[in-house]
Amino acid sequence: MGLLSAEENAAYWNARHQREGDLRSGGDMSFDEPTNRMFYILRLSLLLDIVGHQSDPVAPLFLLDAGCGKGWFSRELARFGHQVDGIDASESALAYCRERGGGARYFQSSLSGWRSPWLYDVVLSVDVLFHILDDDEWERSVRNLASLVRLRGRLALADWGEDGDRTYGNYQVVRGRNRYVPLARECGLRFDGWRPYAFRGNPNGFYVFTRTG
Amino acid sequence: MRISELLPRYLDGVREVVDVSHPDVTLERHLRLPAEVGYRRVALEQAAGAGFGPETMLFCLLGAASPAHVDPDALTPVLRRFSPGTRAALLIGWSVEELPYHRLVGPLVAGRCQIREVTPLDRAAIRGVSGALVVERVTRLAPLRGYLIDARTPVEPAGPGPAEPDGGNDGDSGDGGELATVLRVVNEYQLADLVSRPVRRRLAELTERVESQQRLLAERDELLRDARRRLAEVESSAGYQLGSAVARGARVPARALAGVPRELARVWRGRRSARRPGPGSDAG
Repeated sequence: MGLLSAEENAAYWNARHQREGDLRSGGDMSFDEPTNRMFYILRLSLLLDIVGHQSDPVAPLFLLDAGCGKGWFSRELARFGHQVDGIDASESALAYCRERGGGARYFQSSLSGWRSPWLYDVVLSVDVLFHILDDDEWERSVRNLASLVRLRGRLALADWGEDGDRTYGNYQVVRGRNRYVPLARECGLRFDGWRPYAFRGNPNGFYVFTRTG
Repeated sequence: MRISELLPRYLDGVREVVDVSHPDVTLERHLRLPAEVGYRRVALEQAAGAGFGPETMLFCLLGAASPAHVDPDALTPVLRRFSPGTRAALLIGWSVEELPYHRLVGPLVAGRCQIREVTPLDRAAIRGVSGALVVERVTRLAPLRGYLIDARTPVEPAGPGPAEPDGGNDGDSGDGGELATVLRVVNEYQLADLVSRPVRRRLAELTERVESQQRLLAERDELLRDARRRLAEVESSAGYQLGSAVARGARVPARALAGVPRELARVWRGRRSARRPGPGSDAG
């Protein structure tokens, strides 16, 4: 089975966000909505440890949710008091985000194309990178996200934790530790570890990096 | 964050906290120092003549409200007498938005002190204090912390430089890592400074526009109140009520025969009914 083209991939996600429920549209299609809710909350708890347990309304942390989908993580992180920018390529997902509100800002952008006048304390990308099917675009995306992390800031990228790449169906390519760690190091980030989701056999987790230079 | 959460990360090797705050400022109970760390109060003038080493942490409240607050310039002679490794925890008495950081940078540089961490403090914790700095007298760049996100994790040294392959030579990695960090700081600072300028300008323009709109709205509200008041006066006047009766009579002449004289009589009888708001009495 061949992979979707960039246009087909974009159309697929736009349609999926319009068709599916709040969580399932960006979640695991093999789970129903309540199970996806558990999955989302579990990932949020991992992010809470990565972002830290401190916040301040006057001098907030600045976070980038890269590939925010319908904005669930953006809204929850904004509720913790952080200033959140959510970016996604899907117009239908962003329309939903803006309608729901919740304190985050939303912009239409690819992961490789986003720029900001300020660097972020934490850049996170939750279960998005393995849906970027073109390898060059994936690398551009990782490099751009890494470059948006300020000194001593964190980068959290979700993918599977083994070495090597693997293709699932026609819209998912997981890339391994042997790809992420050297690339991030080249971008000035130290590898702090991989935090598995450990949720009902899901093989994915967060690669966590800190910018040291 | 609370000051009691911040300090423990910097108490390694410290045997005593020396508080040079004004005598009327009592902050000891907020520190929650461990039993093995002593606490002592010393006048700032006395501290300026003493020397401090890494076993002592200086503590004080900076701000603009003299004498309760210590002026940043008054800290310079104290910081100059720090030996390398000595730290100070400085509470910030200004609001974060109004922090005159330009007045802090000079004394810190003069004292060869690096800011190890700067963080806002929870409002409810110490009244009038918005944040805290921990500074350290250094001879080389000390490891940096991320803003707020490193609150729970110990800070590791800069480690091997990011460009070094696995198993690379760690012998000179410290210097390479330090240079990379300094370059990152300088380069981020330079570029962020440039990019922030149009953002700051836009903020100033938008602030002015909002203030202008608020003034305009206030003027319009005043005009509206004035117009409503005048309208009420007109509608309650005898002339308006009589004229309304005549106008209604012109539309329905049969009704005017009774309505106009009735209205006239009402006006003659007294002002009270003529001053009721709303349209004049029904001509019937």
